[in-house]
Amino acid sequence: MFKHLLDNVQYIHLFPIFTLILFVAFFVGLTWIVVKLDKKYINEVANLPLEKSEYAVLTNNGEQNG
Amino acid sequence: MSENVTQTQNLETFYYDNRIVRAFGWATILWGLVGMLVGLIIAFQLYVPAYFPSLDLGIEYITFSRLRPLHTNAVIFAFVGNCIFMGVYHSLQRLTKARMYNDFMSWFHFWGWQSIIVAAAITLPLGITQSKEYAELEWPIDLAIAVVWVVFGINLLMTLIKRRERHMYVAIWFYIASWITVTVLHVFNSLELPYDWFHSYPVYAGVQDALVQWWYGHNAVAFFLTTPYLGLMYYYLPKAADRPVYSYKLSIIHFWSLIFLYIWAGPHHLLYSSLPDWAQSLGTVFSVMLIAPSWGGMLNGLLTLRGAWDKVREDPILKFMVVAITAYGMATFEGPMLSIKSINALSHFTDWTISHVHVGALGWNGFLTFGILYWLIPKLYKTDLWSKKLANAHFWIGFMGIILYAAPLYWAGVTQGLMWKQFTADGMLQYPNFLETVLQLVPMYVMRSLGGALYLFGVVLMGVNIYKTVKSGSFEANTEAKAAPLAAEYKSKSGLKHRWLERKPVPMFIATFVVIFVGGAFEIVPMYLIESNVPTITNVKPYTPLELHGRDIYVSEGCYTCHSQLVRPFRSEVERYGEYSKAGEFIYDRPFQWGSKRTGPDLHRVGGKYPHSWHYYHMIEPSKMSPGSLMPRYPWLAEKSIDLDMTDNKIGAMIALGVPYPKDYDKIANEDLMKQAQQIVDELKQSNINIDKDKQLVALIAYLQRLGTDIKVKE
Repeated sequence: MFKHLLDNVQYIHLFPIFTLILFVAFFVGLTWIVVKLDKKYINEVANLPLEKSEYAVLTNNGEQNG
Repeated sequence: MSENVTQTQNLETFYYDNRIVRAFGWATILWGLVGMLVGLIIAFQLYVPAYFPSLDLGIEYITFSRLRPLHTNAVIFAFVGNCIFMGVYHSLQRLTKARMYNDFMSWFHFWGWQSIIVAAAITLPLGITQSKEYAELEWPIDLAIAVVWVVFGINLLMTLIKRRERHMYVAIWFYIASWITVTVLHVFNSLELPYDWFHSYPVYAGVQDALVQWWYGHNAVAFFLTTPYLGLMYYYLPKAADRPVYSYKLSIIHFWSLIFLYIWAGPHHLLYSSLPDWAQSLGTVFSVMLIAPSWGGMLNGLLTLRGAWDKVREDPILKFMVVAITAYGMATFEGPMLSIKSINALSHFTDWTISHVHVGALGWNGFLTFGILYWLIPKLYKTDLWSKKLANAHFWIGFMGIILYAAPLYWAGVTQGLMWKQFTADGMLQYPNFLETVLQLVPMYVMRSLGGALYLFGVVLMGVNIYKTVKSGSFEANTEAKAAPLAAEYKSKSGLKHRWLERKPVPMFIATFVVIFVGGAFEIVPMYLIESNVPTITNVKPYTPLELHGRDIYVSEGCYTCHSQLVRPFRSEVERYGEYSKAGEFIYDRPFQWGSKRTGPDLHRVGGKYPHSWHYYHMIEPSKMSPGSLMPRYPWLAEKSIDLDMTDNKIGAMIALGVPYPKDYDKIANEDLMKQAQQIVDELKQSNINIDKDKQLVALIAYLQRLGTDIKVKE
């Protein structure tokens, strides 16, 4: 049935516009969520590779990386 | 934080597995050397015949057309692939504060992957290929890839599930997205019907096959060469610079926008092809939009070094990383530009594309790999890098190598693109002889191979440096670490937000899948549409059994590496080759053979252009028919026979795929085959050429003479 619906291609010219709108909506939503994230949390996660975050525990010989 | 206090009270001791990291590291260096060496050999093959024709030894296993896929596969899946796994196995354990879930799975993954590489290195020179770029390996190897890849995925997911660090750092998201997308791509592009143990036909034909292949091909670049490496960048750059990434918020936007957009851009490989116009436009628009997230990521990387640029002057590791990220920026700007139709009209099928991908491969992938290796290996061996000076030398030699590689090829690409399109004042092609436009490029090819040689020499220096480093240190197979287990319940105060996603691996897998699936689905949709969209051309008939054999030889020899079968709708191309290609002409092409590079002329309208004898002599000794030709000799085609026992398998498989041969035609196909072969042999005899009917060359001539003739008006 899905295939049958797609056989009807008369509105195909709207396809790219639709996908563009889809992405813009996705992007705006994403930006909104990201802007609202709090700084303390961001700071903590950003430091994860350096193993300096609150949760980090140093390795046995005191080195920061494994 | 009260939760934190409870966590530190019951610390668990565990060990990071360094052996698996080291194994992938050695594989990276080994296959890097092999892949680049093969690249250098094929770079020589492109111009050496021009100067020393006798150096073309006429050995089938080492022709350019068979080695080129070996080079691309070795560099992409062996060199870059092993580096991805090295980085993932190292960084994932540390970011999750957990050993990899299962050691057996880790080693199964390692040995499985190396076996696949060896299988590729054996089958490709033997001419066992599907001819789909970066997906050449035949169906048994495709199955093996699927198994090994799934084991890697389970190991990855289970490590995330039993992790001790609540938040999943952005690098891990890139690993997840890469795994999911490569899985989807591999499955869809590998749908093929085997007709014997080492051969198959794709389930898609012609335009559909091209669309799926380039949806795959483009995203192999995106999700194998780019997103995993971005994950590595987000981990190793902060490590090497000892500072967190410039903007974590930007990295979140970078990630989601990139994976959302990347998956749509495949059709930009098929501009001016027979693909429906709207799909081409979609590819262009999304490619141009890709600049934004790509550059967001690049700037995020470079700005991480803000305030630490003095370190870059001293530290070869950071130097490699800075150039890698800059190369990423250049390649991701150039890619969208090349997706604009008017630029693509000039660049496509020329060396411009080759230069573009090498800025990415040598600069972004290569240099980031070297930076990571120089950082990681001394850490694993608890020592310092043996010689910083030698690493600096490697940096400059490699850097010069990239410049010397890329610049001449840009020049070559533009030169050839313009020569193809140049008309005289009288409206005739200025360079009607294709060969003239190729021979013009020989000096550039010479320079390019010098650039490649320099780059490879740099890698050898790295090998020496790392060997010496290893000798001076002692390997720590397991690194002890302590961390508290995750509290069983954790309620976020802020409700459903992005943070929630970052803490949950399974929803993260699903969300990533949905995002890439949306784009993927929209691109696959045309596949369904095309079926009804491709105007059927009544003259276009299935290949005869002999032509089918010939076509399979064409595929097996890798002719597509230098010859396209796609005349674009330009005046210059119609003038040079004949009528431009129509979608309906390819409906029996499994696999499609449009190619992506013209080192030789397009062949879609070659049928009937020359007598059989011309093709015969041309395949035996190309320079006899086209003096100065760079094409390799294919003398074995006149000696090797086609396998007549295979005819019914081939025709049977085609019938199963819906090709309208008469009922039970597979049983009697060889009779028709012999009749057609006899005609060709008789005609050759008139030119004093004696050849047996069952020789491969006869079948190949039958195929070449058929090409593009269906829509010609027969007299």
